[in-house]
Amino acid sequence: MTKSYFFIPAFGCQSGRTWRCLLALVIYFVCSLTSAEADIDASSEPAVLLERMSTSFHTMDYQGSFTLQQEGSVESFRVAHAVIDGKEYERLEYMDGDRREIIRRGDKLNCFNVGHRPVKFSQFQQNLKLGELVRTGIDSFYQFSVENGDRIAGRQTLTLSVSPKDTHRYGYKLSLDTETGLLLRTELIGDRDKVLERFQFVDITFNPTVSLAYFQADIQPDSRPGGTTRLDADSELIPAWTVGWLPAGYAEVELGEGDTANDMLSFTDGLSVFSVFLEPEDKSVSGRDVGEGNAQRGATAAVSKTVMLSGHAHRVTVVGEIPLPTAQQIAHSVTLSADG
Amino acid sequence: MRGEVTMSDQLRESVSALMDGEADELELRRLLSRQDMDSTNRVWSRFHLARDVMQDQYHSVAFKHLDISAQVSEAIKQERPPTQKSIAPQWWRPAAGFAVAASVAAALVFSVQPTGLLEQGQSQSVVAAAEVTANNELAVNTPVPQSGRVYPVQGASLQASGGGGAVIYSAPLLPGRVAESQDLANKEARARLDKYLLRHTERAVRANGQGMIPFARVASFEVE
Repeated sequence: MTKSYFFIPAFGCQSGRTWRCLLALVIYFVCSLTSAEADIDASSEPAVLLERMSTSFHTMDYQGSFTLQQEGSVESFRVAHAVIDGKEYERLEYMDGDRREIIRRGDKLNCFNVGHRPVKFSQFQQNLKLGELVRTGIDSFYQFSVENGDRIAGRQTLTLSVSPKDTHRYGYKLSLDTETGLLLRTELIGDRDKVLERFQFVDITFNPTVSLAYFQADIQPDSRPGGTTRLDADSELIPAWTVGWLPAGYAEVELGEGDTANDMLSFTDGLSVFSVFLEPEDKSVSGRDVGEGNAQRGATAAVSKTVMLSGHAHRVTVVGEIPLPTAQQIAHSVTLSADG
Repeated sequence: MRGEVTMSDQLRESVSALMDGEADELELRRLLSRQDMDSTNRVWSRFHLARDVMQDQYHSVAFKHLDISAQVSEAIKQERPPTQKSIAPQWWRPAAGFAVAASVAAALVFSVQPTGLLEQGQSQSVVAAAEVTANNELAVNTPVPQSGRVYPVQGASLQASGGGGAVIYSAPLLPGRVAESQDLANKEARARLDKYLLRHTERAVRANGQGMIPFARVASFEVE
């Protein structure tokens, strides 16, 4: 009997067909449980929502336009994402100002800018699961609440409000598509509930017909020889260093393969990310000290200061979506690492 | 007092009548023989202005003697042309609390230590702005209520380090060479920030579960 099930094709004996049907059903259920999850609603757990949010960006095929609003300015973008033969493709175009785009094919991520060499990143790897972080303690630093949200880009959403329990991180208002879990609007909320930054889809199409060719750069970068620019500046002049103070809940971001930069450290609490850079002060091209100051745009703060490490002046720069005073405190705390 | 009011009322009536072509010869003569031609002129021009505005002719007539555009273009001519043709949007702005003098200088991103400039004897064009505190103390976090969160005051720890005391330079106020090198410094500072931001974003997209969105924050990829 079992033999016939394995070897006799569909028009085989009656019981063989039944087995096939059952198997198909089982496969269907397993699939629906693991990948194509059910709709989310206001009773969904925050951890589940965060996980859906981060996985949907990688598993869904979508194409749409979004805007990024930072205080006085609004910029528009077009984005497409597709999984083709198990490989992720993504393209982000800047629709305002100079033509720029970012293209990801699998683990290769490149920036293109008219007249400039493409910028190549180290290998791209999604290496943090938000849901795991939630279970391991993100909720000691944020408070979550879920409610039915607005209609955004023609889609019904669910709002996940994330408010920080201290002043070392911003709050978030995340609006997720109820059907797919995709993030359709993010508001970064700062001091006195002020919205520092708003990202929002204007329109979105799920499962669009996008071919591989779409994920080729339209922009002709600089044709001069020299290939791509790598961003990592692995310098022998950089001593072993670390940050002496970290806000609670932040841990070092796991590095992608080939990301060996020793002038940079990045930290995240699962939602906010900041990076610390160190470079010898004398690298300044103009010979002028430009190392001190603070800058801010939207939710991104930058703090730069000079520190003396093993007798040499170094410039510390903290960049990230964290409150400025926190960035300052981190910048102040940079020291040589104990083993260095 | 009362006589004055009556007189000016009379004046207005006469002018109004004249403008409407209803003044007789006697009225005209009385108007022209008035001692205070100044107030006659004032009333005359005010009434004309009012009429022109009502008839929407003021563009061509009423403000002719107030050549605003000429004055504005003169002022623009005298202003220093922007020394920095920025390809990237001016998107880094000095942080709040820091911006007392810096707000004057749209191009200024980072402050500069005093030493370099003082060497060139340009201290008079320096705008001292931020307050100096000796101990570089950090903003202290105080527990705050959950809603309407208040972050520690920005600027509480904005002093520059290195014992120099914080001095902010306002680029457009600096003459010649200093301004140029200031621009260079600004450009350099911004280029460095842009590059840092790009690298930061690369890691952020891997860490914060929001897809490529963090890249929208990167305004420029000009790193060479």
